[in-house]
Amino acid sequence: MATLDPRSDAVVIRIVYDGAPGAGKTTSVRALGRGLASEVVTPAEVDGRTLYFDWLDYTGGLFEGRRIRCQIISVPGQTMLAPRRRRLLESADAIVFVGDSTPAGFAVDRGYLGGVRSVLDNLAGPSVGIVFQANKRDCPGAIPIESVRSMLDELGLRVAVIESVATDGNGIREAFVFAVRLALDRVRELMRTGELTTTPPEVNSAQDLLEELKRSEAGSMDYAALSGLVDTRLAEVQPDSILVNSLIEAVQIKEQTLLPTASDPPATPDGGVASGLIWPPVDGRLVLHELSQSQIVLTRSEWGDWSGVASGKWHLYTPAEAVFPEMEQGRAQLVQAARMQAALPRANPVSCCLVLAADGHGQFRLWRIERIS
Amino acid sequence: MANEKALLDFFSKIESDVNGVIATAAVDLESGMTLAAKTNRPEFDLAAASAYNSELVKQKMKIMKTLNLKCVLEDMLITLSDQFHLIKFLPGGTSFLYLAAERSSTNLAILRISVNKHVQALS
Repeated sequence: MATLDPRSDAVVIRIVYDGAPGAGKTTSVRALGRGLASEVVTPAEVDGRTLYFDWLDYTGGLFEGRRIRCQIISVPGQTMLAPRRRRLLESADAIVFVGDSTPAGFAVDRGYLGGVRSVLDNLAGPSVGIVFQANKRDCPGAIPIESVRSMLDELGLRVAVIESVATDGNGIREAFVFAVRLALDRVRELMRTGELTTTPPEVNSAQDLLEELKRSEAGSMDYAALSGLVDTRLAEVQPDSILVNSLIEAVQIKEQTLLPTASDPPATPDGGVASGLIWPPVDGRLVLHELSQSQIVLTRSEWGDWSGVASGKWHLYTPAEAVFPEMEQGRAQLVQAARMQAALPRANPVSCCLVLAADGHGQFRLWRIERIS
Repeated sequence: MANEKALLDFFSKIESDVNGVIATAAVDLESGMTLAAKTNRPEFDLAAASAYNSELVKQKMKIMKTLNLKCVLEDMLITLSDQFHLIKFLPGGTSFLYLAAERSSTNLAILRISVNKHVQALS
């Protein structure tokens, strides 16, 4: 939430980088940090995955004669850390949604964008602008930008689209500056309505934000971090210590053994999935029936996500993190994902369903099945 | 808005024509944020200079409006005792080029010709 900091006479705004796991949020923030000669702080990260956020503090530009201080934050993309992501999104003055232009990534973007919209719809005050940073434009088979615009139109989102290749730093600064403009529009509106507070920001550093998140979560996300990737609490206290490094190494080895390998794909959901584990219940069941009659070949991404296509009509996707040892844990995630999906306009016939199904290795996986348009 | 890579190419082309370039930036007029920046003097605070120059441009536009001038602001040339500063709107009109050069190494005519020549490529 924007404030006027009387100590520095700066307007403090927050730009939040959101997107699906592996879309390039952290890469974008780091590329931006390099360009702005500012350091990016990541309180906890394992194997390239952000567990809390990335933080970049930059002061530049002028607004009504005041310096603009930008708190630039990226959210954790993993499904299991959705509440953390939501909390960070709620604090945004503008959002840069990092979209994945690869076909598999693009299918996932839609769900995440729906999530953003449901968060923003529940926020009071002037609207929060979104910039869609279409990333990975250099990938072979990148989705045409017209398809991206069509998807955004279908979702009813008015956003600016800027193409980028985060690994080269291309398009990053452009997207950021556009987001700053949107945030300043919001600040102007807050000023007009007398809602802009003149007070030092409650969060002044990555450490402050980390403590705030931990306080608000009251340990509720510890299990998520544990089961999603690794327990990072010790790493936060003693980063780069020998003990922490060995622990991370040990957990990574454990993680590799837990994740299915390329030769060991999970079972795909079929008509045998129990009721209560499919959303929407009736239409979803019909989709599963259709899937059970087709041959599905799954492929594994470098992140351990699995995806495949059924009958050329349905795209199946399950992220690496969406594996649950117990059905009840998976069901909680299913309910959360279904709530987000339910907030979107309902398509007829059904275009997306969510399923929690046994993976054939003694665990459960959350699947997202989308109609290929 | 042109992307950062194209803008940095643009800066390089100007530098190849003009001697004594101290720093160059493409600045978003609305926010004063730099879209691309290159400095040859680390002590030259280009981010701050860009931000305050955005105010300068806005003020000039306000003056023009007050005077009811129906013309277009093309560029602004500022002469300091040892530096030239040039401000030139970029295609699209939402951002501008800000360039500082050593007065002893170049002259305003060369600076303007080079900038005008290369700015076309950005549109």
